[in-house]
Amino acid sequence: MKKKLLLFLRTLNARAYVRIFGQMREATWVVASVVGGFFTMTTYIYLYRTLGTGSEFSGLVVLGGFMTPFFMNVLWGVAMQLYWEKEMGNLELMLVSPAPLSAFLVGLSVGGAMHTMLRSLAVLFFGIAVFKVRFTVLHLPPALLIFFVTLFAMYGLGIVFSSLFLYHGRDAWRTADLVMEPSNVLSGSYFPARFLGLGLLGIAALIPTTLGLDALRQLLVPSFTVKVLDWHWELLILIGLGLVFAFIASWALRSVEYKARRDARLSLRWQ
Amino acid sequence: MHTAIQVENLTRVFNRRGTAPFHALRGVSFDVSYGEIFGLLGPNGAGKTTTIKIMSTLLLPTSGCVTVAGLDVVKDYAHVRPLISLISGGETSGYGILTVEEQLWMFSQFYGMETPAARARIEEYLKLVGMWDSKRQQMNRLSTGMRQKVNLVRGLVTDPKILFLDEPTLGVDVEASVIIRSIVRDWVQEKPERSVILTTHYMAEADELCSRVAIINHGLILANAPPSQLKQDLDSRAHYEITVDRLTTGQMDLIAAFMGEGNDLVLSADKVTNSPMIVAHLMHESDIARLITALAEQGATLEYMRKLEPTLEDAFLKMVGRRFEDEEEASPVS
Repeated sequence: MKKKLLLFLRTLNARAYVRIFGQMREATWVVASVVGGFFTMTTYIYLYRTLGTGSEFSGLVVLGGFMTPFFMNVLWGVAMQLYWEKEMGNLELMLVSPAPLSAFLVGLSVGGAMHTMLRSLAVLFFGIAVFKVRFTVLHLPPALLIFFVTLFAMYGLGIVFSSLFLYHGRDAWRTADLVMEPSNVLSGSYFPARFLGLGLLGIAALIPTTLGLDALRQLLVPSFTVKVLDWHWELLILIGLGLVFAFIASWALRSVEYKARRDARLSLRWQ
Repeated sequence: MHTAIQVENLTRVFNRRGTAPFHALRGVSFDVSYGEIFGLLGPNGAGKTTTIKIMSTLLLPTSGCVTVAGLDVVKDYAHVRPLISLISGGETSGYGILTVEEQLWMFSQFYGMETPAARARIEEYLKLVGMWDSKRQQMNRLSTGMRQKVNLVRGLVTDPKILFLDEPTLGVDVEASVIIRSIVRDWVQEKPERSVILTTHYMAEADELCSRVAIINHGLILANAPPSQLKQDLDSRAHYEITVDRLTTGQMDLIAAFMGEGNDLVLSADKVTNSPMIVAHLMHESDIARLITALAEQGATLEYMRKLEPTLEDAFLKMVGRRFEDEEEASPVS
């Protein structure tokens, strides 16, 4: 048991290392992603100011700009990863090693989250420094709890997607593209999710960012009133989503590995 | 226990939508002993890679049984994996943004190695392949040969019992190939509980490294023997090439009659000197003395003589019906 746990942790650490330190070497990518995030946020802040909305709207946009990179990382950095690993020839070496697939994915989720944190914090910093957006820190502990629970649920969803995308092979790229924009809209990245209406909210709530962002806005943005649910309920739902996604992810990975061995088309590039 | 790998009546059928099922393996059986380098030779699509994928737990067989280190690759795959390592030719695995040292450390972690032990072994093997000075170089800046040396080190760092080498010198320059072959040979001799399964397109490589070779074609094993035996089985006669200063067709007929039935002599001209050249296929090794005497009696002086040894390629050609090179040209898919 101890040996298995050590193997899991060492694999997790090694895979996270690639994300955290390896990608730091691609400085242009880091700069481009921060600048890109900043300009998207800027666009929405000016839009709300032009419309004459309250200052709380600038706050919710900055929080949206802070959380959106995590969802992008989940989609492109976790969900697509097994497919990319297969294309690079790494998946075969991962499968033939004694390490479980889940350790690789948890590792790249941890590494991806830490790497993305830098970008998100930069966006947050620019939002506060440039647009003088103010947040309340009175509820910081529950806000941090919600933030980490949202990440847990989001990356769990990413691991579920990674199995699906791997199975669908070359269609994965288009599927990720297809999922990206609607998810940005549904999760209310740059507007209060309550405006979606009850019907769409039912679907949107399956994306952890939707309720996570709504709860964070309640706790950190003064005078934010257009909430979906009380943050306590949102926290409970997020914990539930996280557990369900973790269970499905674990099952999906086992299933993918079995299919990989049965069909060979998941681990060999030419099949 | 002397058997590292046992393959019994192995079959594998690939069902592809819209096409007839493809029988990649049709009852393959062989075994590999500890301390052995076992070669698997065959043209493209013969079933080599499928066999390796099954042995290395990456693929399930349709039927048959494979044990690695006494463990069933289907049921006990989780216990087989820590004991094996797989290296493929032309491999571009890993991450280009990592340095050589980081990449090797990362793979060692997938086997649960402690970092100090992993680092010590990485240093040992990088020095062995002559790449210690390149340890801080990024992977995406390495040449094909250097990359393949790193792949070899990756496979050895985890100290496997059984190493699967799938075309390990594919696309690699001569110098790097020599280093890779030498390390593989030394590695297997270092500890008695180690074995190597090698597939290669290079017959000389199989001949040089393998203690036994199985020739596989259309999913069937056609032969399984030491390279020397495969060559010997090809033709038991002795073959010589002899160049002399002068010899007429009439004299040649006299010599042929003297040598008797079963000894074939073919007269042609040396491509470089244009001197008469005899290719002799003799029933017995000792017949060469009689042939030289007969030539002397005809007044011919020997300019050059060499014994022609059959190659593994000749054995392959005889069994498969075409050379590897022909297969390469005929088939674009590996």
